Amino acid sequence: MSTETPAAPPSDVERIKQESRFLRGSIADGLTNQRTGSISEDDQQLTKFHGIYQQDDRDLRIERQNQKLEPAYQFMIRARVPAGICDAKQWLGMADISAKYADGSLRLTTRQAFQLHGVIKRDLKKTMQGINSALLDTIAACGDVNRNVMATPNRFRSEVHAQVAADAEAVSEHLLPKTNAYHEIWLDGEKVTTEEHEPIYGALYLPRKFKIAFAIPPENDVDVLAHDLGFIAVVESGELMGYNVTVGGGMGATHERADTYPRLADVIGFCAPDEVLDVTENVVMIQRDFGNRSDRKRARLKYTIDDRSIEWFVEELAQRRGKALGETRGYRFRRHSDPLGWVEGEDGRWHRTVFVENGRLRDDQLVAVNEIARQLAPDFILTPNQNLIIANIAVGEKQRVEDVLGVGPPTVREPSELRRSAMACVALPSCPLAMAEAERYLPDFITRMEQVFGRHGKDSTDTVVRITGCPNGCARPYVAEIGLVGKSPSRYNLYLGGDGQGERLNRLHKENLSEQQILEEIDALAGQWVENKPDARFGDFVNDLLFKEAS
Amino acid sequence: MAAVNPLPQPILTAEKQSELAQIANGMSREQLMWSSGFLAGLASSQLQGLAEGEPVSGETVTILYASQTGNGKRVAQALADQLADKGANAQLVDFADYRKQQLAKETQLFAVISTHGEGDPPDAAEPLFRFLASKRAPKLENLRYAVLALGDSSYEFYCEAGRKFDERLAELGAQRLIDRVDCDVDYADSAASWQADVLERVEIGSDAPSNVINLPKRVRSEFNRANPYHAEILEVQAITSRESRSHTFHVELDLGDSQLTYEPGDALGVYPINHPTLVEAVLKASRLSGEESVQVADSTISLREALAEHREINQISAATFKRWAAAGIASAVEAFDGMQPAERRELLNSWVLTDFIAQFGVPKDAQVLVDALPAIEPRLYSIASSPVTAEGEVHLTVARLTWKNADQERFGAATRYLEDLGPGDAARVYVEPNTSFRLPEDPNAPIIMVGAGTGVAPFRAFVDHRVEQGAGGPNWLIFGHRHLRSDFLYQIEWLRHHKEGNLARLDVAFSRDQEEKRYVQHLVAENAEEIGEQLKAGGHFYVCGAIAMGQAVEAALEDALGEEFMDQMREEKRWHRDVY
Repeated sequence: MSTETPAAPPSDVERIKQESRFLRGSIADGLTNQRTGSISEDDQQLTKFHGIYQQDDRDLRIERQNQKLEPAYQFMIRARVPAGICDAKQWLGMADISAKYADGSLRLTTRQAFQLHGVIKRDLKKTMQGINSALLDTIAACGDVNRNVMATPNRFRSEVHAQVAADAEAVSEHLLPKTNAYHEIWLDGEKVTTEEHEPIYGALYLPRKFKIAFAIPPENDVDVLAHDLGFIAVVESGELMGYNVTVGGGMGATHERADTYPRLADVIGFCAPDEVLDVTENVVMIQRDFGNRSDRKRARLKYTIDDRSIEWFVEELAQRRGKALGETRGYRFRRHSDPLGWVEGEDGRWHRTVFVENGRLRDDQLVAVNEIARQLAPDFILTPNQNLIIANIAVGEKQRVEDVLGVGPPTVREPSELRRSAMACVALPSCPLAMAEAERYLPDFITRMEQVFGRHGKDSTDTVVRITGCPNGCARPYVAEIGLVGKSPSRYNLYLGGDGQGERLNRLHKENLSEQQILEEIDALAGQWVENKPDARFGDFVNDLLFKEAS
Repeated sequence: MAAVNPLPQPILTAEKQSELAQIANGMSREQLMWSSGFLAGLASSQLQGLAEGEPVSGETVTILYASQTGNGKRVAQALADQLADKGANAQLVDFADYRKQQLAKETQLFAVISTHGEGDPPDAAEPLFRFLASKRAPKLENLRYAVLALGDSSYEFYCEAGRKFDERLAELGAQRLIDRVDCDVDYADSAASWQADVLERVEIGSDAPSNVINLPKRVRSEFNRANPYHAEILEVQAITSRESRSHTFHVELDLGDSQLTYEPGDALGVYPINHPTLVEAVLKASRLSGEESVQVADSTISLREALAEHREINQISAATFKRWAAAGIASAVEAFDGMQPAERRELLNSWVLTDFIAQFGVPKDAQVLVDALPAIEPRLYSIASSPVTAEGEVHLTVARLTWKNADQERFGAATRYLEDLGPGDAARVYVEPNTSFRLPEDPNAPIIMVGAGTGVAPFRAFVDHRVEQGAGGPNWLIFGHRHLRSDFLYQIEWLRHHKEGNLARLDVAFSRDQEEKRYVQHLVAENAEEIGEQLKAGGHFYVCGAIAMGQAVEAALEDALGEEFMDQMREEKRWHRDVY
């Protein structure tokens, strides 16, 4: 007889996966139910694996309740775009689908993916088929599986960039769920009659989402240490030698639960490029077998590691692979925000990084990019900072691109360093988790921050500011120099002290602050910064000032 | 209007009332209580005596009515009351409740029949009409009768149902006491004169008993069509979303101490107040200030008030033309007579009084103008609440009605009026019973309810009522509108009822949510087999909404279940229609 305390029962999501017949559930039936614009609660868990989240327009909740109508249910669809790369045809396809079935905008996410917002149930299938026709898919863009695999842009810039992007794509493909459910439900594919199985995931998939990123130093735009699994490219004399492997990073936390926290990954060794898939598969399977399936708030790999130890993990991985990782190689990051403007690639083609405020492309700016897509058929890369690279432009066509891009307000055409370094998640009105505004608030907040820093002569600071509507951390706020995490409407927890390159977690400075209080805090700290250490990064200065003694 | 339906007679004459007050004056509380018991005892022995006593002698006079909107019933009721006052043994019977075997036994029959659609009688009258037309119809040589036909002269088959009935009785040998009178939308005067003729010609047995049995069973409210109650508005709430193109709202009214009662299926009559914009436009077109004093009924009021509250200026009826002619503007009626039916209909559906004035002119005198206008019509709304769950309240479901005429936006008088009301305002209302649209007496009978748009209103009352009463029969709602997202009226309530099993089935058709338009009749056709099973098990079928929808649903069901089955449903009064 075992003397161990019995494990806590599995969470309800585990039951849903178990009963889902490999992610089918009753999704197909739910789509035909015309009494409601929603799908069943169980199916809402399952559609995530197909890249679809049920949401509702929270701005309309009370109004519709008074109208005796159900909430304005709508769906967010996230396309899988490994390394953020798509061509002009795919780009135009997505823009067209959004105009037809979604809110007309394209949301570039913090994971280099596309999001469509505001698709209603009866258009869902048509939208999915449209995405398929545009040669993209949404498989596993959400859910308890590997999410969109990120990589430092851009593949057209150098041979090394191309190799890293190819590795990212290979990992994405390798970890795709094998179930035919997606094709059956959305693409009217034939029903599978033979027994299905998931060789890597198993029938229950992972305990929680799983995130992978590839970084090419000195850029840490992907925030590689914020992922469950990371690969830091090691390049010597223009040649990709392999990767330092990182495990156990993750941003998500839950307010009022001290046993949840953001965590930076551990760098655990080095692997050759041809070992990437093997390492990946084994890391994923360790998490599959040991991850917490009872408490979804503590189900990420970071807790699996912390609940045992990093040594245990390294040993387990070596055992499964039959060999240990190599010795960690040296690397150095310089920043995690995007350099904007033109760069020339190794082959003489040019690449223009376009600032997209909050990653939301709409109206004039979207029209302009679509125009470029039609005229020049360039490639596109969605950046980890929600910006857009228009890639592979011949030198003679640079001016044409500039001409077309000259639209929108000055803050978008020529954003300050502060604005271009900032990021926010979507939050209200569509995200069900949001406790406060983020995307809709960031532009105004940045304007106020520009005034604050401007008062201290720091008009040109590139301090990294990130806002999220909840503690889950989609915009990776816990590595920002100034991070705002939504607590309740118009109230944020203020985190300070990131290093501007994604290698140091910031810390909670004060809780539940109003905008006025936040501006006063920053104003005071900026004053001391300019007086004492004007050449340091703001995040480094406040970290020394506020937290040095503590650490 | 008032002539049709006089105020109910007070139960006591003023004299008796003052005598009673004198006796009561100075009594202690106990004495009063004892006396009231004594009087009640007297009353009950009198009633019993009559019930058990000699059979009622004297010839029975039957007043038969077939009414879809309530107008016919109102006229028949008034006649029955007057006959009773005269001492006749008058029986008021709905066509729907009339046993066809009774017909051969009748000696005096007065029928009030309205016409609908393509010259059809109201649904309730259909079985009797069919019976009369068949070979099985009896000889009616002992019958004396008269028919009042109600209709709308803008339609092609004006008063057709009444005409058929009148002619058929004559063919069967009955003796026509009075020539049939055909009444238009503005029926009050013709109906009153027909009633007077009937009262003159009717034969009443010499030993007719008093009408004491007809004392009302329950306290009857003093408020009615002629004397509407000023009900306080509790809430006016939009129930379609902001993107909806069929703007619909929910109105809750407080019945206060009006004693007004209703049953699920009944309608509420609402007297609108004409919109100030229209009133001012009429005044401007008439070159009158509005301050002129005019006589309306027994009161002297300003012309402005008369136009706003007492006269119909938001729509034109055939009667308007005739009245205009009587007021000295002959061109109107000449023009009207020269029109094709389609042209008439178009005009009657789209004009307001200012359009009419622009074309034909206007009487110069304020009083002549007021007299030339028909009285304002109350608008009837199917009640959307159960009197049990919404105690003391009455709820309505109202869709904003707009149309365009000569590029100008027009508004339905009552829908615009109601929409602009807010809590604390009052509206003039009365209850209009709709006896042919009632829940089955058997709580275990299945009910199938088909409602499109605001046609769902009475079903909210039905389902709430059945749930509250613990009725065991399954409730099945079939609802249709344009878009799920914006137009699913009372969606939250229906979903809750469905989840809790109060609605055994909830099927919906949103016409514009897919390429091929889908309507409730498609759902009826697709589910005909199961509908048939429930109906064979004693179920009742209800359809409420627009006329065309009602016809399409009926046709779909008849296609699937056969004419004979449908006739049986009508005959057994398990087919109920409330269309407008």
